[in-house]
Amino acid sequence: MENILECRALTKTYGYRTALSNLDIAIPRGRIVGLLGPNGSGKTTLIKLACGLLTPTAGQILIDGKAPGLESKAIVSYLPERSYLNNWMCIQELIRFFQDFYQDFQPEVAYDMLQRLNIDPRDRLKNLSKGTKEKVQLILVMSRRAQLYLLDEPIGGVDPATRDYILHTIIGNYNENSTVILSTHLIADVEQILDDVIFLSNGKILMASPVDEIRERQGKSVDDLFREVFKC
Amino acid sequence: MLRKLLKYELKATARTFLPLYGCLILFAVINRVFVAIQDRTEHFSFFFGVSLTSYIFLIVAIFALTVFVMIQRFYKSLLGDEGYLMFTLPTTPGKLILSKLIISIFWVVVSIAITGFSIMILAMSTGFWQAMGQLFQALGLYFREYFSFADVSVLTSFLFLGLCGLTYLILSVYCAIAVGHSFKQHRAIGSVGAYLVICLISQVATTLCVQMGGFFTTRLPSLEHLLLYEKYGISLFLLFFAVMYLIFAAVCYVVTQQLLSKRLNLA
Repeated sequence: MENILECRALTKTYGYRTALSNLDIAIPRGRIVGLLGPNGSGKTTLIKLACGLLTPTAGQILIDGKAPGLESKAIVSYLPERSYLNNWMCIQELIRFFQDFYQDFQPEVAYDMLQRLNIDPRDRLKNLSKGTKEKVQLILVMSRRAQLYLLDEPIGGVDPATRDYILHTIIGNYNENSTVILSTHLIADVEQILDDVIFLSNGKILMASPVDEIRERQGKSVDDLFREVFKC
Repeated sequence: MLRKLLKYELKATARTFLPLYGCLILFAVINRVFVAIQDRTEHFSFFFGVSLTSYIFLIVAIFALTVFVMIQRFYKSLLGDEGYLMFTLPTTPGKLILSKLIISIFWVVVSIAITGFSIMILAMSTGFWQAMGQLFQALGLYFREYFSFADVSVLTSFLFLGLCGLTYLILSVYCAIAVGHSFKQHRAIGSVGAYLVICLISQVATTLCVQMGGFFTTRLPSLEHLLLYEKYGISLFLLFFAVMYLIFAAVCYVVTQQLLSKRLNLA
C-alpha cells in the first residue's frame, strides 16, 4: 500500500461536540509529518482513531489499507500523551513486556538508549520523575521497528535539552520506509525535523503541505506561519 | 498471544493476592498457637481475641478483594489509562476479555482453597489428624463398596455447575461495565444500571428455561423417570443449569466483545 495512513471523510463527534469533521488525508510512507494545531483542534482524536482506541462516527480511517485492528496494531507504535504504563513495573520488566508482545521490538536499542540517558533499568516507574518517565515511554516506543509511529505531544512536558534528545532519537531510530506522525504545539522545536505539516483547526484541515514549500513559497518558518494562521 | 496476556495478568494480580494469602496463613498459624496456649492458661486471651478477629477479618478481606480486583482489572486496566497499552497491543478484544476472565476464575478458586487450607491449620491438633485419618479410611471403604459412576458424575456436575455459574457471574459484570462504557456520559452509573438489567434478563430467562424444562420433562415419561428416580437424574438436573449458565455467559461474552471491538471510545 502506498499510503500508510488514509482518512476518507473521517468524522468523530462526542455528543454535540465535533472533534473531527470530514477529514480527507493521505500520508505516504517514509515521511516525518507534523500534526499541528492549537489545543482542542483534534490532533489527539485523529491519532487515537488511527490506533483503534476510538471508533469513527462516520467515514473511514485506514492503516496500510485496512481498518484499525489486529494487523494495524502490529505495525503501529503509539506514544500517548499520558502516562499509560504500569507504575509498579520496573523498566526491565517493561522491556520484556514489549518484547513479548511486539515482534518488531529491539531490546538492545532500548537498553542502549537507557544507558545513554543514565536511566537504570532496574528502577520502578513509580520512582521516576515525570520527565524520566516520558523518556522511558518514548524509548520503548522508538525501539520498535514499526511502519507508523504516532507520537502525541512527545516533547510537551520536558526540558529543552531532553526535547533535543527526543527529536534526535526520533530521526535516529526510524527507518526510511516508516512514517512518523507527531502532534505538537511546540513548533519551533520540531520544525527542523519535519518533512510535511498538517494544520488542524476545529477538526478540519486548514492546510497540508511539505515544509520546504512553506519556507520557499511563503518565505517564513512554519512557526511564523502557525502564529499567523492561528492568531487569536 | 492469550498465553502472554495470561502471564502478564497473573503477574499483575499476584502482587495483590499473594501477600494477603501469606498473612492469612500466618494468622492461622498464630491462632493455632494461641489455641494451644489457651488450653493451658487463661493469660494472653486478649491477644488471642485480637489475632482471631484479625484472622476472620482477613478472610472477609480476601473475598472482598477478589471481587474488587475482578472488577478493577476490567474497569481500570482495560478502560482506564492502562487501556491505552492493552488496546494497542496486537491482540483482539476477545482475548483481552478471556485473559481477565480466566485469571479472575483462578483467583476465586485459589482464594477458596487457601481459606480452606488455613482453616485446616487452625483446626489442626493431634486429635484432629487422627479424626481425619479415620474419616479418610471410612470414605475409602464407602467408595470401594458403594461408589458408582453416578456419584462421580453428580460431584463433577456440581463442580461444573459452580464453574459455569462463576464464569457467568464474572462475564455479566464485564458486560455491564462494557455497556456502561458505551454511554457517552455517566458511564459508572450506566454500568450499575446495566448490571441490574442483566440480572433481570437472566432471571426471566432462567424462569423460562425452568418452565420449558419442566414442560418437556412431563411430556417425556422416560426422562421424568430418569430425573426423579435415578442418580444420573441429579447430574442431568445440575448439568441443565450448568449449560444454561454457560449460554448466558456466552451471550455476555459476545456482547462485551462486540462493544469493545466496534464501540470502543477510550477517554
